[in-house]
Amino acid sequence: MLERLILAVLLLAVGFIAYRLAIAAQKRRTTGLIDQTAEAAALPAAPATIMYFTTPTCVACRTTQRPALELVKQTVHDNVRVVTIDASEQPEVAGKWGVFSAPTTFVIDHQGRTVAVNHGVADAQTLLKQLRSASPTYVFEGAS
Amino acid sequence: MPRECIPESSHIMTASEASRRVDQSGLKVGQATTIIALVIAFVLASPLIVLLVGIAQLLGALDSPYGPYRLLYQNVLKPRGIVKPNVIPDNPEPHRFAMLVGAIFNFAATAFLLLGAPAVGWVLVWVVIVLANLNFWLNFCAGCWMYYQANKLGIPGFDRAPLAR
Repeated sequence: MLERLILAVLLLAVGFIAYRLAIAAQKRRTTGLIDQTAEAAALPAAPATIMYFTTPTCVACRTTQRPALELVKQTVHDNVRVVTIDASEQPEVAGKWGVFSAPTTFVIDHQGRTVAVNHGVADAQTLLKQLRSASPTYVFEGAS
Repeated sequence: MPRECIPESSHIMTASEASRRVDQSGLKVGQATTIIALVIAFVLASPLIVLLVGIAQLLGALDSPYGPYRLLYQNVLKPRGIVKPNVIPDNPEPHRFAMLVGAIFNFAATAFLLLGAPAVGWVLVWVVIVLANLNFWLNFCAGCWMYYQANKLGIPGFDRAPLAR
C-alpha cells in the first residue's frame, strides 16, 4: 500500500508540475502577442492589459467573468484596458494564445509580458492582485 | 480552432431555456469526491471503491434524488455552509452525460481489475481522475464538450444546444 500511496502522490505531483510548466510556457509564448492584436491597438495605452477570451455561449462569462472585469475597471480606471476577443469568431487569435476554454484571461504588463493566465473564471480580487504584479509602480485600489 | 470551444449558436434563448439552472457547487462537490475516492481506491487497490464511484456517477447521470453526491451536497455540505450554492443558467444534460462517461470508464475499470488486467483498469481510473481534475480546477468539462459536439452533428439524444446570448 505504501508503494501505491507514493505512486499516487507522484502521479498527482507530476500532473501539478506539468500544469505549472504548461502555464509558464503559455506565458512565454504569449509575451509580446498583445502588440500583434488589432483590438488592443485600437484602445488607448495603459499600464496593464487584460486579454479576455469569451464565446457567445459561455454562461460563466456573462454571469461571473464580465461583472468581475467591470468591477476591476471601476477600481483601477485607466490603469488597465480590457481587450475582449470572441474566440468563436476569431479562432486563429484564440489558437495563437492557446485558449481552449472560456473564459480565459491574460494579465499583461506595459512591456507586453504575460504575467498571469487564468483558465476559467477569475474574480475581481484575483485580477487586481495580478494587475499589481504586472505594474507594481501603480497603486491599484482594492488589491491587497 | 480551440478544441474545446463551445460551438456558436445563433439560437435566441427562450423563456424555458432562461429558467434552466445548474448549481456549479454541486458539480464541484461531485468532482472533488470522485477525485478523492478514486485516489483512495488506487492506494488501497480496491475495485470495490471504483465500482461504488461508478455507481455514484451513474446515479448522478440519471438525476436520481438518491445519488450520493447530491445527498452529500444537499444534506451535509450546503446546510452547514461548507459549500455555498453557485447557481447559473446552464443545461444540466451535458453534465449528466459527463457523469455517465465517467461511470462507464469506472465500470470498465472495475471489470478489468476483477478480470486480472489491473494495468488497464488503473489507467482507466487515472483517466477519470485527470478529467475530473481538469473540470474541477480549470472548468473544462470533457464530457460536456463531447455532448455539444454530438449536438452540433445532429446525433439523436443530444438535443440541447449551448444556451445562447
